[in-house]
Amino acid sequence: MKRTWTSRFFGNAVLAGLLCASGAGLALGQFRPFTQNRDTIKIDTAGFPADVQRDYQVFRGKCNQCHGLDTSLKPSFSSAQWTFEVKKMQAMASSHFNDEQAKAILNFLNYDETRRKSLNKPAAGAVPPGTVSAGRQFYDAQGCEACHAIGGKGGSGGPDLTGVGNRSDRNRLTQLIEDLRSGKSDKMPPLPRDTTDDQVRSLVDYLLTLKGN
Amino acid sequence: MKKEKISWIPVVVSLLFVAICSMFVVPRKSEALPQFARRYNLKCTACHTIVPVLNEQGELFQRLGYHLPPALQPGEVPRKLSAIPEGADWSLTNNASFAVADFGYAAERTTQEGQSPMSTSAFQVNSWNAYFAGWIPDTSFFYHAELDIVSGGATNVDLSNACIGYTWGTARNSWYVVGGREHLQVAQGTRAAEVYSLLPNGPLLFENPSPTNFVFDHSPVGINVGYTWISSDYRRVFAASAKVTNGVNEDGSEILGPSTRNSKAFWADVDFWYAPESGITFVDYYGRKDQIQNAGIDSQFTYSPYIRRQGVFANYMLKYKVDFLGGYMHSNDDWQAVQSGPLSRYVSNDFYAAIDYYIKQGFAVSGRYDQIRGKITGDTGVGLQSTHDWTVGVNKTLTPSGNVVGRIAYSYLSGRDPVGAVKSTDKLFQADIAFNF
Repeated sequence: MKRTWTSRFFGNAVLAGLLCASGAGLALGQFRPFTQNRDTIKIDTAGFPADVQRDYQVFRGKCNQCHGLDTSLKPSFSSAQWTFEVKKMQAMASSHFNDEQAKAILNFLNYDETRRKSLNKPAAGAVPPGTVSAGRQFYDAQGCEACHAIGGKGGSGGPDLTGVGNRSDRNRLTQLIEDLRSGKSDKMPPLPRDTTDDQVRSLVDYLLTLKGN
Repeated sequence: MKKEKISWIPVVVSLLFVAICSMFVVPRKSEALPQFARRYNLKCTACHTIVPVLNEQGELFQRLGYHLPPALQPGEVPRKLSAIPEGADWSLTNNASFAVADFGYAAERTTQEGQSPMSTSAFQVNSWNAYFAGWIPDTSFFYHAELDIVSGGATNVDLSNACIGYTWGTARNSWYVVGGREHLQVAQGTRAAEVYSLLPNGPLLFENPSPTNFVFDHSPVGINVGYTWISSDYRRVFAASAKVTNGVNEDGSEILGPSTRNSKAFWADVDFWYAPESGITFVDYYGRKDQIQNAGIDSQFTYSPYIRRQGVFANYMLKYKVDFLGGYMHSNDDWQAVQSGPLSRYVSNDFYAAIDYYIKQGFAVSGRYDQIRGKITGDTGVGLQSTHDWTVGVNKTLTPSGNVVGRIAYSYLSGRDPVGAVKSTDKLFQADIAFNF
């Protein structure tokens, strides 16, 4: 069927409109073309024990399917938290790893925690450059950014915390964090048992400053 | 009595031949929704084995109204779907993809009894689509729209999918209802029942037009309801879906607006995932369409055949490396060769068998054998005829996220149509690269 000038014009106008929308998205900074899964952390396993090197290969093969390796290599968790996370990942659809592989992954993550990540942690009591409070320091140290985003930066496994200071109050946030410390909550990895009351208070103080602006 | 030679055979045969060739010259468009990867901060391979083929998580993602299937651990109280995290905040680029495109080269040689062989080759933009889909924040509604801009090298704007849905329940027991235009069978079945394949074209039994001008893979307008039950750790999944839709026009195109074809088509699907990434699907379709016989000649007439399809499909994935897939579909359509003549049937038993071997994540080789075995019953039939198709191909993702895929495939089709028993062959080489952005 011969296409009329009108139908050709409409088709080209739609194409041009979509290209402009793409450009507008880019210009407004809303477009993150898949950089979120780029692996920036490089691990040199040359000095690792042989069994940890094997465990690393399992980690690379399995954890790279759904998200980049940075998602696991950036946050710093306790052994209990990593156990929680790996069990959760194993219980996802299409996770494709069995108990033996889960153990290998956990073994590597705990080894990485005690080697590479412990070297990068700030000294106790020190306030790392760029942080604004002890609460923010604690937030970073617990790796909350792996699942929570603030101001567009962070993960998406949990609620966005950008405006949490507007939609929640001190009592609710304190109760939530207390549940994490006591292991009552199943929604998030537990906090270390030795988390102090001061740390809980300062974390709540920090979260209440997040007003979405 | 001397049997009269039926004069409409060459017309029908030619139309069938062109339809088969068109299907193979135009590779399938890629159907990945990159915005989901952006919204949930995941790679394409979280929901696809290799785009566009869905893994179990991808199938369930669609069934749960675009809620990411959460971890389901034994003894854990399943969350309501509305409580599952939404991913990143809603933004245009988290809910729309403007450049899902496929560029390729195809070289083809076709032969048909009584005609000179024909060879074609071309570089072309096979497809360029835009997708708008996602979960509406703070609600249980979701939407999906697909705007096809380029198809088969030609700019031909078409809103081929446009639907709104609502989902409720928990992650383990959920329901959905969807209204609008959507594929008859996409992400509503286990992997062997998918119309998408690692090869450029889906199985022949989904894509082959019958003599009644019906193609199983079409996008009707209607209402779709479904239920999904999931065991802990996703060890077992049971799903059931049903649709009531408009049917199709005489030429096989979907009825999109008011039509004198008042009868509706019914489709039902039952799925059972019995092992990780492995499942079995039963499908039943019943509809009625108008059919023009002897088009363009004096004996042209219109009748209304019933269209019936029943199918069973199954796959087993061995060690997440080798996927064995197979499917069988039985067709039973009314057929009338001469106006006021006796009603006969087009009956066909079609099947396919395929193997996808994943050498490593994002790299697979595939092979598939398709067979269509059909006949027109009664005096006007030419007996049982078969069409065979052998296809091999290689897929490789070209980016860590899996959103760019390169593919090479070769197919050889040979057979006789069930109406005129005219033999034809088709050899097709395709190389294409799909961008999902």
